[in-house]
Amino acid sequence: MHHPNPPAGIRGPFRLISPLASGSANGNPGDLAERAQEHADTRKRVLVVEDEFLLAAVLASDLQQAGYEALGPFVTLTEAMEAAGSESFDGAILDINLKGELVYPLADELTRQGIPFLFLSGYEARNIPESFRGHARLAKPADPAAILRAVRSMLRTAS
Amino acid sequence: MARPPSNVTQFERGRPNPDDVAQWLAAIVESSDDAIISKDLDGTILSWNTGAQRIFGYQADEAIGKPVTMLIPSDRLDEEPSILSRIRAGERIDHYETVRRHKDGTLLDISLTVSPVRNIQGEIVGASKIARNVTQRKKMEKHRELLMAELSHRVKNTLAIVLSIERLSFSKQQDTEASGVFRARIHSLAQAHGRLAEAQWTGVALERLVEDELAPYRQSETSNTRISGPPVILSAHCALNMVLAIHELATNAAKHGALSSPRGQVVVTWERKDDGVLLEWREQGGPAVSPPQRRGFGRLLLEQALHQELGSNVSMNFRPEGLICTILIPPQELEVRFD
Repeated sequence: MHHPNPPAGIRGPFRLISPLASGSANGNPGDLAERAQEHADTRKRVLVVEDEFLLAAVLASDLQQAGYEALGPFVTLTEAMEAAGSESFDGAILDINLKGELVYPLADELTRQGIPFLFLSGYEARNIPESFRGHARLAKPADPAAILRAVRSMLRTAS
Repeated sequence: MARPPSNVTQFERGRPNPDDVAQWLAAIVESSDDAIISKDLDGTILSWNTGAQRIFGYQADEAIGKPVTMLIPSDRLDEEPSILSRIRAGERIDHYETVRRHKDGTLLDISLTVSPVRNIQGEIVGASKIARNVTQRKKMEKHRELLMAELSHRVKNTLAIVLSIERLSFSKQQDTEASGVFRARIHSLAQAHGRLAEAQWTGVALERLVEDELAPYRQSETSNTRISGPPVILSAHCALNMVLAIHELATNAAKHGALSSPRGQVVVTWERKDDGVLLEWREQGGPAVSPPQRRGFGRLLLEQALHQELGSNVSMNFRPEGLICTILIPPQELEVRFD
């Protein structure tokens, strides 16, 4: 496997093109990349907060292939909070447990800013604070198609 | 306290001396670790044992004559009138879990039993309260719940990573069908873990597992799936094995069997037997069936893994009109529920 950046260098904005999105691993090399380029101005940006490198890599590449720009991945709460303060984006996918820290302060911040987000987590409803229990949440492991559907509907509610 | 229980009076040989009995009872109350408090029908504290002193921090002379509400946090003050009215009606309140306040302000998790106390005429004149400090137990429960949430979170995260590795290991041209089959198996395992976590690892209802596996194929108009049986809870170990087996049956039915044709039907039933629960998977109305040539993963799982892991007897009958698979789940893999 080949990554253009070592893991430590991967910080937002997301520049990693994973093997999935690269031509060699893709049915239609270049196709999606070109399309993504064409729509560069209108592409919606999705903040990815996920501390597992491999999950984040697949998630980001799925988002990119679907025509979104993946911003991140941010692996700690501090990094993600900074990004939420300085970057502009249309929605966010939040893992809940970030190396032992819980993502809720960021969720509160996004709520305050009116930016839609969805949780992607292995936690059960019972382990989630009541204020967020009813919030959009996908259980890990989530089907990639289900993630994209959820992202679409999240961004629709925003616009 | 009026009317000592008869087994106490029998303790003394011959005619019981009422003073001895009273002293005996007082000694029992004094030596209890639980707080034993009595109060009148207005909620004024009448007696206060050493256990109460230890749990709530007040000496007897600081408590006796005071309203019992001094132990109740302000957001729970409405509990007392309802307790008193139930006592007046002669009701007993058993192991009511609530929160009370220590003299120093600390909140305590308490299990409370309150019983009416009657005078010699049988009239209710007050209440005895037995309070057990369950703060430590509650703390342990919370800790246990936290550990289980972490465990479950980790298991699901790991399965998600397995799926990512699979995605990153194979290109799209490489055998996408096999890859899809693999992913679906991992997903069904993950779903079963989710069900287990929901039930705090106490077991999963068989019906829930079967429903989860058949849900992707169900068509309400044609009722192509039917599931029925008495409530059965599978052990965690059993559930994780069974879910894989049922997943194989379901995907096989969708590919080759009854769920591959619009008129086909899968009927899953189970019943309790002396030697366990007998589950039957019956396919009907689908394309003509012939025994498969190849023994794939599904049959390995059904015919060997279930036997080894659960001690299940599995039989597979590839009738031309549809597969019948029976699985006997032995009693040790069932959770007995008393609730």
